[in-house]
Amino acid sequence: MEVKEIIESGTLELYVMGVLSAEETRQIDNLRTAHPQVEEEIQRIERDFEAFAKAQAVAPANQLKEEIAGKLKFGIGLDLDQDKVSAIIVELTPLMKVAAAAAIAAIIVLTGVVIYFSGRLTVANNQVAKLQEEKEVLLYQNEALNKESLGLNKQLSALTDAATKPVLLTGQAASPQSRAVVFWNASNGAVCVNAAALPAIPAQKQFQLWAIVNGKPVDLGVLDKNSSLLMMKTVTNAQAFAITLEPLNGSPQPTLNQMYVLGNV
Amino acid sequence: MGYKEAAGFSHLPFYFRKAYFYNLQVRAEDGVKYTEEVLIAELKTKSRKAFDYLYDNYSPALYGVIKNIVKDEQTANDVLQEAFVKIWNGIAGYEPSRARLYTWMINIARNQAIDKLRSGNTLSRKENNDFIRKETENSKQLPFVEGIGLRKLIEELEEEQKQIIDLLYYKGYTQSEAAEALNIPLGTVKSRVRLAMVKLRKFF
Repeated sequence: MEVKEIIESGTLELYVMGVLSAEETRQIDNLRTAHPQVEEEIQRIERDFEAFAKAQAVAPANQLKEEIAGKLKFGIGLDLDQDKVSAIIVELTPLMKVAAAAAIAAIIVLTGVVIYFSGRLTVANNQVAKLQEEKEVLLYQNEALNKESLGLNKQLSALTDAATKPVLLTGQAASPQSRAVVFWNASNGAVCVNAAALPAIPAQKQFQLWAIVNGKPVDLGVLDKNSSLLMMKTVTNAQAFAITLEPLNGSPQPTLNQMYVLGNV
Repeated sequence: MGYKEAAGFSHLPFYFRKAYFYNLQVRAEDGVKYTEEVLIAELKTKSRKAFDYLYDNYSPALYGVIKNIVKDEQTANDVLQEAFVKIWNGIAGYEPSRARLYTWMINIARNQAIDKLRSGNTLSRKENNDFIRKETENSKQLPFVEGIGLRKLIEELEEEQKQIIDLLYYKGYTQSEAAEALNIPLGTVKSRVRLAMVKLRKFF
């Protein structure tokens, strides 16, 4: 259907007068939405008919107005200011207000939920980071322990070697209750001492280990702590071992009256 | 909640004019001629003020059309009242996208008057048609009463165009009824209306 044809046909005039059938009216309803020229022509025809009606205007009798007003129900009008026609304010209908309120409430709730879970997430992440750290520390410590364990195994092998001889050093006059054990491997000369049973000593003093070789004392080093096992200097031909209390860092010759323990091989 | 200002609505697509989306509130100066949107907003509140404006500005045109249809003054008064009641009741459902307010009101008035005319008319449609045919054949009398402003207008129209306006506009004939009454094809009815409109436009 050509738009121009429709306009020229007079159908639109009949549409405006409301004399078209329901079907035809529907057709024009669709047409005017689809074609702005049709819409424009319809509006123009409406204005023409309005002018046509105005041209035949006759004032009704005066009293008619109130008679008619009496038949109508009136509502409260808009609060018209003395302002100029400035704006048409669009307010949402109650339906839309409820919908808008619900939507906003939903957004607030969802935002709250998001914030809450985001907080939880941060906490969780922090925990993960902390655990990572702890894991690293543990790995490090584990490595250290492994090394120590290896070391200890080595020591144990050395001490329990068939060639190793334990020599018990018993307390002497300076300290009758003291004990010590020397593990001496005669074949390779390794000396290990267990000085745990020696008493505590003043700060300026240190224990020193001696080997007695052919009646002469040989320095095997100072004990830097009272621990179970200390590796000392080696000696291949010892007849006895002794520990004396010396000043810090030891002495070239043992202080005989400070002999704590002594033992023969 | 959700106020938005717009100077007018003609630029909005029809969808947004649906009443259930929004209500219109208006700021306007008293005594100023309302734009259609402003008037509609006020009308939908059914205020006395809205009625006053409507009656004062539009009732003469409505009354004139009604009178040209029913002729009798008392009947015209009744019809005007009935028309206003119909307009008042219908304003809530009025959609600007369908028709201009003025046109909508005029059609309500016209239909009310035509219904009144028919209910009082003892002649059948066929008898009516014969009557018209005889009348228009016999005289150059104008089928409808002229308003003062209408006189020049009417003189412009051809006989056949006046007839068609009379039947369709003032007597509420359908196209086919008019075609039958005048013994012309349907298409001719339409084209005569169009020609009448084109001529009338010169005056508006």
